[in-house]
Amino acid sequence: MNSAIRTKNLSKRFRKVAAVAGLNLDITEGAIYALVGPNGAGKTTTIKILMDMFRPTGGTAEILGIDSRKIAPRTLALIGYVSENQELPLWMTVAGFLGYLRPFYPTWDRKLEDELIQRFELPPERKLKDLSRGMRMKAALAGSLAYHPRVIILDEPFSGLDPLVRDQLIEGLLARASESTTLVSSHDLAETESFASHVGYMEQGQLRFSEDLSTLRERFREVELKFEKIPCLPQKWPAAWMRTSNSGPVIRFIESQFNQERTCAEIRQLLGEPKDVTFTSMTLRSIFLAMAKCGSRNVTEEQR
Amino acid sequence: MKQVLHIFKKDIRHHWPEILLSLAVLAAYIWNEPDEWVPRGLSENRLRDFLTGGLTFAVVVSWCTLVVRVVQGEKLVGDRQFWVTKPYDWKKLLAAKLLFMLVFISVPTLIAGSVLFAKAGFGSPLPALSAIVSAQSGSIVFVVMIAATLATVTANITQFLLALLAVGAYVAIVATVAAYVPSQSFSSGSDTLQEGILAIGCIAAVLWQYAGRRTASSRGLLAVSALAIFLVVVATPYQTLVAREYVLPPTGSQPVQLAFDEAKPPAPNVVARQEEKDVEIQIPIKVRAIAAATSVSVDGAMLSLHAPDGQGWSSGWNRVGEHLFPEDQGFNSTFKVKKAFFEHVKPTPVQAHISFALSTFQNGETKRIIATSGEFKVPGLGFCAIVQGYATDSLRCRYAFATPTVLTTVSSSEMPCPFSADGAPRPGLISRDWSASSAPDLVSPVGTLDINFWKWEGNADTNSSPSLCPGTSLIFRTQEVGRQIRKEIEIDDIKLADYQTSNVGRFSVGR
Repeated sequence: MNSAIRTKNLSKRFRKVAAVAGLNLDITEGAIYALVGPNGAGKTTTIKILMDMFRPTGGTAEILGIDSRKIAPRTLALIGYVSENQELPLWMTVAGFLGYLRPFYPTWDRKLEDELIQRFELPPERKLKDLSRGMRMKAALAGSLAYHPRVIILDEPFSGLDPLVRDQLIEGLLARASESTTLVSSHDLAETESFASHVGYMEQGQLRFSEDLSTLRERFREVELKFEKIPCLPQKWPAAWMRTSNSGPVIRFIESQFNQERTCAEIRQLLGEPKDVTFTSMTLRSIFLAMAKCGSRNVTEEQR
Repeated sequence: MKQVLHIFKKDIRHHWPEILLSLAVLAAYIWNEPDEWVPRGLSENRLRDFLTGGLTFAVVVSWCTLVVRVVQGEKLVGDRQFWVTKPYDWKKLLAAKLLFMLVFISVPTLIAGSVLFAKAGFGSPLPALSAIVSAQSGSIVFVVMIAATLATVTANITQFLLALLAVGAYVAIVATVAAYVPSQSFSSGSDTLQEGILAIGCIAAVLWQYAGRRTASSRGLLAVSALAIFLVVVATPYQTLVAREYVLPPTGSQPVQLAFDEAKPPAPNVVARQEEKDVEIQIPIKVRAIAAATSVSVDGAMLSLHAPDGQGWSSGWNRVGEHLFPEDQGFNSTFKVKKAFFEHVKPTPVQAHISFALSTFQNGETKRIIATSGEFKVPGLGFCAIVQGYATDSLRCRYAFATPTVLTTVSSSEMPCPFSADGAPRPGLISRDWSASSAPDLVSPVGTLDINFWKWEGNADTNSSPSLCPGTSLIFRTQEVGRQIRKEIEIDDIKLADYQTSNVGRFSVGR
């Protein structure tokens, strides 16, 4: 599969702060890619470099095979971009806004525009400044979908929106997903889980991992072991076991490379035969919380 | 072009209140400006001048507002504006903004200029359109260029105003520093270079911003331009430029002879106050050999002093503005000498060297006009009217585009005005006003020129100033620029204290 979005050793520094540090990202065409991570991880900076709003300090970023620094209007006509922080022309009405954008896009679809207005229940004659935040996001999304973009980039589109609006946005997005590659940066892991095909986890400007969502779900398990008596704990836990804790004869951890046969063998080798073993599937949110906590603990230890 | 017009139409829809406001201000300017042409009493003048000045300022403010609002409609500073992720072509965006400024600043101003031209009685503006455009373009381009440049490197109107304040502070600093640079106030030799740097800096910053939205480097470019202008102001070899502009004439072709007037009695000795930093001296200069039908303008003068102990001081070139005519015998050249140096050389004679920068003029076309009540036409100049003042009478003339340099003369022999018994001048006296070429600024191609007759010249036995009334014969002589020359005068053993006049700052008339 071809890459719709690719970065190679991408870095961006703001004075002494490295917002993005050697990021290698590869998003294949047709994917719905969720870029997640804690605040300050570098997600928005990465997206702004892709859209040529920031220039990279090092490395390259490509979108549809074109270096982000050389993005011309004809490439921008193939990209739909919506951000929570975007400053829209608030003096325009919804219809005026969409009508203004129309001539910029050779592939603008009037029928789709009407459909999006209906789907998002947008009031055409209302000014953008008189709309709620959610409605503005919907207007912005309508303005970014009505021309069948080949790439859709959404920067934190759901933050601060009520569930109904979020669902409408996601539905609108999914309806067009088959014809586009979508990159969504988000804190809202639950919603992301419901529609993303791939996920990347960014932390401290780096991509900790990037894989398709089903593989990720298979890889993580919450493990609870019960022993007859308190087992003898090893000096060092396996690297794939995260957030290990024990309470008497019960040991809990998160296995990040789950394979039932191999995990069981590793448990037996380190701790002996448990009386009872429970493997529980994890939600994306639980996985990332574990990752984030583990990451911050590691940083603290490194600093010490 | 489609995209240009599309953005242009959007800007009209968005900025119609500012457009209307700007047009209203311009309409008020057109309505008020003709009042400037009409002579009135002094008490009314103050109110009118305030209104005229206020409206001119309002026109500039309205232009700046339009420019800032339209440029920042698609602002170039920041990373949150929606348009940067849309398929805008920066060249078309810039073209749309320029089109907006052309349509809503240049065209209305051209129309306003044409209306004023016609109202001023100069006939149909159609044949004069290119001249009107040419007269207005300098000020429009300057204001729009500065406003547009600052608007492209600022994110909002507050930042724009702060940037404008910074520019004001910069200009004040440069002007303060320039005041200490010898000869800077006289020579305009580096003005073109400064204007060139300013224009290139502004245009480059605007293009750089539109092409890549690189605010930091665009601001840096402007800072470098400002620094370059500052360096040009302080480092220009002004004296060399003056020497190149005003050449030493060959000995045989002297249009005027100037010499130190040793016979003239020195001015009374006045002790300067302790707090003054400069001491004013007046050196009498003899004038000879100005040919008939010519005049000489003393544009500038420079005094260099050398004390017997080797110490020296130079005033640098200073503007003078004295006009000499064939019958003139002499004038006093005024200089400000550093008080410390003056006190040092006060008891002893010093060697002085005076350089004069002179422009020669020849009488051109002469027109004799009899003044009437109300307005009367002066061919080649415009329309003039007598202004009866409290102290002196004058002429107020309105002209289109520019005036020639003109010498206006009245004679007591051709003055039918009634005089009081003790105020009547004897026949044969003349009074003159020498007006340098001038041009109006900003919107109106119509300017006004005040021609003042302060006093009778020669051995006048009256203190009264010339009165003007209907029937007065006025002679207008256009002055054609001849050569620009330099005259050097060496004075051995001059005692400065003999020529000290007063504390600096006292009003004095040189002649």
